[in-house]
Amino acid sequence: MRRYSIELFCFDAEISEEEYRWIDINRLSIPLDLFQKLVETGIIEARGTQIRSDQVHRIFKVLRLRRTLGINLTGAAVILELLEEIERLKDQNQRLQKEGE
Amino acid sequence: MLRVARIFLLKLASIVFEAQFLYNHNIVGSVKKDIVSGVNKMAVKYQDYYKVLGLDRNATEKDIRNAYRKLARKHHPDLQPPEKKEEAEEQFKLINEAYEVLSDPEKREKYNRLGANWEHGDDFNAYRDSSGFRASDSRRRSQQGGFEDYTFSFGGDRGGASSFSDFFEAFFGGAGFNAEDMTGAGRTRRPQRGLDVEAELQVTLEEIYHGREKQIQFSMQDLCDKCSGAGHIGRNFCNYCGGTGQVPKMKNIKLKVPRDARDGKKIRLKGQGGESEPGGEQGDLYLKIKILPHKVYNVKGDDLEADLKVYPWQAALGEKVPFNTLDGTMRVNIPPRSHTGQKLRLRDKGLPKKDGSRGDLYLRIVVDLPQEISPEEEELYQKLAQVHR
Repeated sequence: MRRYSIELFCFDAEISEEEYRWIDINRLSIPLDLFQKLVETGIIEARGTQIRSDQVHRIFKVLRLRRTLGINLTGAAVILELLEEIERLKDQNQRLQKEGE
Repeated sequence: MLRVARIFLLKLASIVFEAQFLYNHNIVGSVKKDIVSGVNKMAVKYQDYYKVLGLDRNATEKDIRNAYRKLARKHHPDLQPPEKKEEAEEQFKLINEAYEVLSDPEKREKYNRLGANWEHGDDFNAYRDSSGFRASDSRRRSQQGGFEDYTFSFGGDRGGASSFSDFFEAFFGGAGFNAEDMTGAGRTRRPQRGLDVEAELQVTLEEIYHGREKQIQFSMQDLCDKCSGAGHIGRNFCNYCGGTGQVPKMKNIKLKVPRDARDGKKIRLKGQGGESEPGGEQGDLYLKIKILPHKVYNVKGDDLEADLKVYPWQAALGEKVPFNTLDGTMRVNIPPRSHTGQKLRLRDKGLPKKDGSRGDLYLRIVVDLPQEISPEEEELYQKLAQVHR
């Protein structure tokens, strides 16, 4: 297993007010028809040809699922939603358990 | 004089920052080199791909695909919770490797021939150059096709380490690229932007108040830079990340906790997220702030809340009692006839705000008895009880 280590020094950390940024899909080497399908299935949210930067990882995830497991985009979208829901519930469960202690 | 000193210090800090950055990049470079040189081992462990997929040697193509799908579903890193991801990744790579070989009739045939000659689990020596198993011929074909360099730069001489086992490497020499699979890979497009990465930054109230410097270390999953996160190159698994599309990366970050840090807010460090393709823009790193529970204070926005324990006589008669605020010990005036649940406000003793002002500190009065009551005190309480009746 490769592990890269990067050391970073930052003295002027600032709170970012914006929730997420919009980036152009041309920056992501994704074909236009695939982009449209991704928007249609609700995997990503689009504003023109722009998508939310925090959703980019979802694209790669569904493409990997499609490729390796033979799941179509709609199915992969459902899986994605369920995984995120599980993650959210686990977080909540952990929080509640901690509060109960 | 002070200002000059401050400017000097700032300059020094930025120089240190740059130097550290360059230095660390060099470290990354040398690590890569070490891995590359370490791969040229000659003894390789035999991998039984049929066993990996739970098949016998007569399995049909359909059997192989079904077995692969079944196992991939079970060990797919994308479907695992974070704590099991690493384990699943290793398993998934092996499954991918087995499928890569067995699903391709040509490779399977080669593998079958070899499997008859070598006992299970035995180590053997791979004579790469004389065995003719190297994928160099397919690589040459690719080059003649005039495709872009980066897509197969890790073919024979490999620019980085491979996630597929040494066994696979010895016989199929990197992922064997078929020229026809690469069609379209050479079309011009803009370099891909790196992923935005989110991590949690745990801070204490004291760290926010003092704006303390903090060092954190975390590992992130970055997109594999060879297959751009797809897990595949052409029809084959990417052998750099083993088909997972992700590579682990450790990050060390030192930063000053901003004074307006609050639960759930995010710090954005531009360009410190995922790696991009050469020429592309790096992703950003978001640090989501989590304020650790404090044993005295509760955070309510910019304000703080705390319980203030007072003794019955203090509540009844009023008194100045000491209390530890973030700024140090203060004497708090308890008004006479105070009740449990009443709140005292200490203006500007809460959390610092961005504009330099402060939130308030609210103290909730809780009337309580001392742990031990002396006989003399008990007598007085009895008297009190009689009077009250």
